[in-house]
Order: sequence, then structure tokens, then C-alpha cells
Amino acid sequence: MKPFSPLGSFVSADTPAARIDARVKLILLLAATVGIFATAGSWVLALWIVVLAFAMRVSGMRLSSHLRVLAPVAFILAFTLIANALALDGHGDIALAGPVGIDTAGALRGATAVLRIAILLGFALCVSSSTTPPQLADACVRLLRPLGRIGVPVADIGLMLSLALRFIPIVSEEFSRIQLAQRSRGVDFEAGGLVARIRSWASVLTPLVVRLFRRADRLGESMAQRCYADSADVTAPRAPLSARSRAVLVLGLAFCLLLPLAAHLL
Amino acid sequence: MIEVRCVSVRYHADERAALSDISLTVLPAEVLSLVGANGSGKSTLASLLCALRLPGDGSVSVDGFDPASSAAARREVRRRVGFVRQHPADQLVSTSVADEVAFGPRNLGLEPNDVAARVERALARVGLEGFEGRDTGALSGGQQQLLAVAGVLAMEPSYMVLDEATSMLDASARPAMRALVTRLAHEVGLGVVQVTHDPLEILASDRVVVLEAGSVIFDGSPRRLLSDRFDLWSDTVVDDPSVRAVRACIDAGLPEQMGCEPQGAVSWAAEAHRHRQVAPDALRSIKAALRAPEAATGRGRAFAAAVDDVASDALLLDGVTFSYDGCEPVLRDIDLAVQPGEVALVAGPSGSGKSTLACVASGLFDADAGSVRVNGAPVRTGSVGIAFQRPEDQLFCESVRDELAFAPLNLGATAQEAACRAEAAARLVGLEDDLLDRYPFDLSGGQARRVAIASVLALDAGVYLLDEPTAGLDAAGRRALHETVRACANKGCAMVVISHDLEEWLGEVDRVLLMASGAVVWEGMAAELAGRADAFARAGLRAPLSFELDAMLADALADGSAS
Repeated sequence: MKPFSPLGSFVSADTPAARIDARVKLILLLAATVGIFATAGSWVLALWIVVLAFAMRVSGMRLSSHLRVLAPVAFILAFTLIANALALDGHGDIALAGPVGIDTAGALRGATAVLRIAILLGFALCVSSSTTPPQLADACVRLLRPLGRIGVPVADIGLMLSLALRFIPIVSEEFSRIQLAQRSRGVDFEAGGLVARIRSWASVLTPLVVRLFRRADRLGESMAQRCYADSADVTAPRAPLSARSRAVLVLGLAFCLLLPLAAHLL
Repeated sequence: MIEVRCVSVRYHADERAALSDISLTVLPAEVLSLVGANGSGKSTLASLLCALRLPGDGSVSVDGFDPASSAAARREVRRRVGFVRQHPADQLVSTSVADEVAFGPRNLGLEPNDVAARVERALARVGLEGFEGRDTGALSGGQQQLLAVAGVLAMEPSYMVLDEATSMLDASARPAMRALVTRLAHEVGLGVVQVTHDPLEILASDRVVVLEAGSVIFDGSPRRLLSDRFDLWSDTVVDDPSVRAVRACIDAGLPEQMGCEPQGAVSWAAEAHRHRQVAPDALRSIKAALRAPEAATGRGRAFAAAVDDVASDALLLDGVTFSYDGCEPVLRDIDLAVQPGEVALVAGPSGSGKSTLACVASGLFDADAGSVRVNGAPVRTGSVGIAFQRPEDQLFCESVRDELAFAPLNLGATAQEAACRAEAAARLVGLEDDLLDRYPFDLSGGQARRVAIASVLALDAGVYLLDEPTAGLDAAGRRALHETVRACANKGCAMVVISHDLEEWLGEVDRVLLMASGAVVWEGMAAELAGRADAFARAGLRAPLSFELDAMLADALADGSAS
């Protein structure tokens, strides 16, 4: 009973991207985000697409999984495109009907925005498909560690992140199991007005929440049993980057910095 | 040594005490089984032993540390006494195996090198070497419990408390856990306390303590419980053919020092027979003990034959194929027919597609190919009742009565009809009338399970699918559920039980289907399954222990008559 979830999109394969340290991938994802938004020229976006194609290749990700994740946001993307392209006050370059027309500059702006999001999503998927959830959680904590000096409780954040990553699949599995059970008891989640629907979802959410609280209690006890005290430093030891990861980091950062710069100068 | 002195615990002032005036010692290097009915105080006692809870009256001390004396002593007791629970989801904190095991040692403030060394040792101890980088969520249930044990071992405890740690595991994962417990006690020297209902775990332990209503009513070796207090044994432990065989071996003169593990006992009998120290008749009586006292099998078929108007199968699956998201098929070309009045068992290892089969057969998932028919008509939700694993998780109403009437009301019954069906369902599972107005979340585990099963039976469907209906129940709860299943069949319902525990169900069902990788690999009457080692091998299952013992005895008898 495993529905598709982009969170579990990790492809278990020894791809070149999987051998890069997760910290490097996270930093590069951030840098690429800034880089993509710092550039607007169409030829630069085309270059980003080339880079994305390369990243997808080395992370062993298939185009179909990219499209599958895009599907749920397709509506918002289409809305963005239309909201930018449609002119309702008659200033559109191509008149359609009455004051309604298409604004070509707006359409281009909308298309650029949609493209940026699609590219970014592709990069994010490359990271998640080549990195296990534990590596990701670990990388976040290690990157946050310097903040510990100014009093940020990095160890607690790390534990929280780790628990969340661990429990998302468990809770979602439990949710679908209870929903199936109530369906078999004749609950129709699609039928009726708002009140009837809220009532039918209560049959899933009530037991789910009760279980979550009970589970939280027991988990807390288990942690106390293993001598957890909130003051303890429970983070993993330091781990330096490998030479390969360092090289990828330097090259990637240089690219993310130079591309917008070059686009700006040319 | 853990010393429990005159301890009483009371959760609510107006209720009876959960534990009253209990005294007990736990020694290093022994396996102590804590048994008793649900609600007898086992879990409360377990939580006192590891300082998860402090006693109201009396005291607990672990190697001289009293957890009630100071926070530091409590912490030390918690380090010395490890605790493993029923569900991995209630105790694993990390997504990575190495990190999970390192959690405890890091909390103790150890140096990274020490932590790494302990992680490696603990994983090796439970047989999970090489799993360091794995995702904890991707492990099987059995591996997750081994990991939970490793997490406790990394604290380097002197004692370990297992609270029904194997009750949710596959029958195939239990022997590994049993062997680990014995190793930890006898080789490493840990004192292990296991709360359990499993007869084989009890036989493998050094000492048994039986609790009843918060008091110790037996403290001694499993052999003494089995031979001197068999009344108590059969009240508290679920009936098992291997246990009956061990009893017969004791009657045949099994020496005290042999212990009472079934394989050991039966191979002693076989060997003794070869040396003519045990008469063939004694060996035959051991062999007879392995068979169910009254064969339930086949009853359902007889019922079906006796009813004239049974023209079609109640549940008919024809060439059913199913996959999630068009990926690898989970069910491949499944044919299944269950007649009214029949109880069928679907067994197979985890991941063989049993639960998916239940979802397709009850119309919750649509088959990709093939058809599912109920009493001749295509299946729709509500025409087949289905109880998932741990069905008590789906209770949500204000009262048990509402819970039982929920499904009939959804399917358009009038309030009066629904009330009638609710009461009929309550009678089928043996719920007392005064429970009907209780709040479902206040019920004990066994009661909640019965309510949940009744809430499905209230559908008044002709076909029911029950997925692991007895997991985690005590002996009385199991017996009651076996009776409920048979009572439904006798009313003319087609019953399908999904379970990995063949030993428990073989004597209760009419027909068995073994599944592996989404296909049915063997199908036949329950009685025909004996001696079909090939069927188990094909399904990737281990044959029940009683079959193995039966074969040993048959060999010995054949040898005896040949010589």
C-alpha cells in the first residue's frame, strides 16, 4: 500500500551524483536557485536546461518522474502563465474579444517564471533522487552547525528533522490504511455537501490523531529510556568532504556565480 | 540483580490495583518470561523494572541503585536496564541504522570513537553488520526489532526488558529473535525479562512468572509449569501442538536437565526410542499429541454440502491481476473461490501480496484484469467486510454502540435495523452488554480488538476478510476470535483469514492457500498440508514446527520397526 510520493523518490543506485556529499548537493541547490532567479535572458535559461539534463543524467533520474512531480503543480503553473499573459483592460498586443487580449511581454514573463520553477524542481528532484532521507537530514544539521555558536539548538533541530523524516511515511501509510478501512465500512469521501464531507474525514482524522498522540507518548518514553536529555549534544561527529565532493562544490559554485554574471555583462 | 520488594501500583484511586504487593528478583544470565492475561499487570511490572515508572508503594532496586532516590540513580537504572517495545515505530528515532544505534551512546556523552565502536559491536551482536547506512524505514519488521535491540545493547546494559517485542513479527522472524534472547542471556550474561504470549518463547526461558490480576501466582521453571500446573498453563498460554508434544515427552520420561524446548525434547524421544529406552507406544502418543484434539478442518465443506441452495461461491476471484501505478504487478493471475460456511486461510511471507489481495477482493482497489464477484454480482465496497491489521486503530465514535452501528447506517440501514445488527455483531464476538455504552478509546487492547471486528461484522455481508485478526492477543482473546470466525462460518458466511501464523490457524480452518510474490503457489485442504515440504519451500515459508517434529518421530518409528 505505497502511494507515490516525491518524498520517497530516492532511486537506490550507485550513480555519480549519489557519491557526492549531501552537503555539497544542498549548497549547490541553493546556489542554483539564486542563480536561476538572477538570470532572465532566454539563452541563459536554455543553458540551465542543458545543465539540468546533465544533472539528471548523473543522478539517474528519469524524465517521467520529473513530469509526474510537475503534474500536481501544473494548475498553478498554468494559472501563472495565463495571469501574466491575459490583458483585460484592452492594452493587449493581440486582441481576442472586447477588452480581453494577450500581452506578449506578459506572456514571455509568465513563460520565464514557469520555466524557472520547472528547472528548479528538476534540480531539487536530482538532489532527492540521489540522496537518502538520512543523508539529507544529516547534511542539514551539519550545515546548520555554525549557528550553534549563536545559541541555535542545532542538535534539537536535527533530532526533530530526523523524527519528522522518519514519521512522514509511517503516518501517511497509517492514514491510507484507516481511510481504506472506513471506505469498506461504507464511508463515501466524495459524496455529500461540505458538512457531510467534514464528518466523513473525521472518521479518518480522529483515530489518526489519537494514535499520533499515543505514539508520541511512547516514543518520548523510549527516548527517555535511552537516556535522552535535551541538554545533551546528540549530533554526529564531524566528517570532512572528500576531494571529489570539494571539486564538485567549487566547480558548481563557480558556474552558478559566473553564468548570471556573464549574462549580465554580455 | 533487580529486586522488586512489596510493590503496588494503582492508576486510579477508584480502580483495583494494577499491581498489588509484588516481590520478585531478576538475576543476570537468565531469561525470565512474564506471562498472564491482558490486563494482569505484565506491562506495568515491565515498566517498573526499567524505571520508566516508579512504584507507588514498595521499592525497586537495580544492582543497588534505587530509581526513586535521585534523578542520577534513575538515569543509571535506565542505562542498566534496556527496554524494547512491541512496535518499532514507537522506539526508532532515526532514519539511518548507524544513527539509530548511536542515539543512546551519544546521550551518554561518549566520545565519537567510542560511539562508533559501540555501534559496530551492537550491530554485529544482533546480526545486522553492514546495515550501517541503510534506511530504517526500509527494513523488515523483524530487522527493525533487531535494530531496536541493538540500540539498547549499545548502552551496554546489564538487563533487558522486552515488552511483547515479537508479538507483531512474522512467524519467520521469531526464531531469530528467540535465538538472540538466549544468546544474550547465556553468552553475554544479560538478565532478560520478556513479556510474552508465545508458547515457544516461554518454553525456551529459564524461569516463568505468571501474573493474575496484579499478583504473582506462579514463579518457577517452564517445565514445572507445564507438568505440575498444566491447568494454569492452558489458561494463560495459547494451545500449541509442539507444547502438547513436549508434555507427552515429559510423560515418556524426558530427563529434567534436557530443558523443555520442543526440538530438544522430541529428538531425545526419537533417540531414546532408537536405544529402546522409550516404547513405540510412547512415541506414538507423542506423535498423536501433535495432531489437533478435535479436527476442525473440513467442517466448513460439510456445511456447504449440507445447504442445498448454495449454487455459487460466495467469493470468486477469477484471473485477478493488480499493480500500484502500473509498476511491477503485486498480484498475478489469482484465482480464489470461497464457499458459504467455509473458512479459508491465506498464508505467505511479508510482501507476498496478502493484504493487497484483501483490498482487491473487498472492492477497495479495482483489479487491472480479471473479475471479483460476490454471490454472483460484481464486488462493490460494503458487500465484503474487511478487518485490517490492528483494526482497533480505526475506532473513532463516542460509544461502542455507535461504532457498531456506523457501517450499517452508512449503507442506508434504518436506525432500528442498524441497532439490531450492532447487537447481533456484539453477540458474535462475545461483547458484554455493559461494554456497549463505553467510550471506545477507554477499552483494553483485547476488548478494542473485539469491538473493531464486530464493527466490521455489523456490515452483515456474506463474505469477511480478516487480516491477522489475533496478532498481539492473549490466549483467551485468541480462543474467542477463533470461535467468532467459526460462528460466522456456521451462519453461512464465507470467511477468509489472512495470517503468517500457520501453526495457530491450521487447526481452525478448512482450506489453505499459500502465496508467494503475488501468486497462489499451493492450495488444498488444511489436513493435506502435512508432509508437503515442497509447498512451504515454494511459498518461501518455514514449515510449522509441529510438522518438523512429526517428521522426526515418523523417522524414528520407521527406524524402530526396520531394525
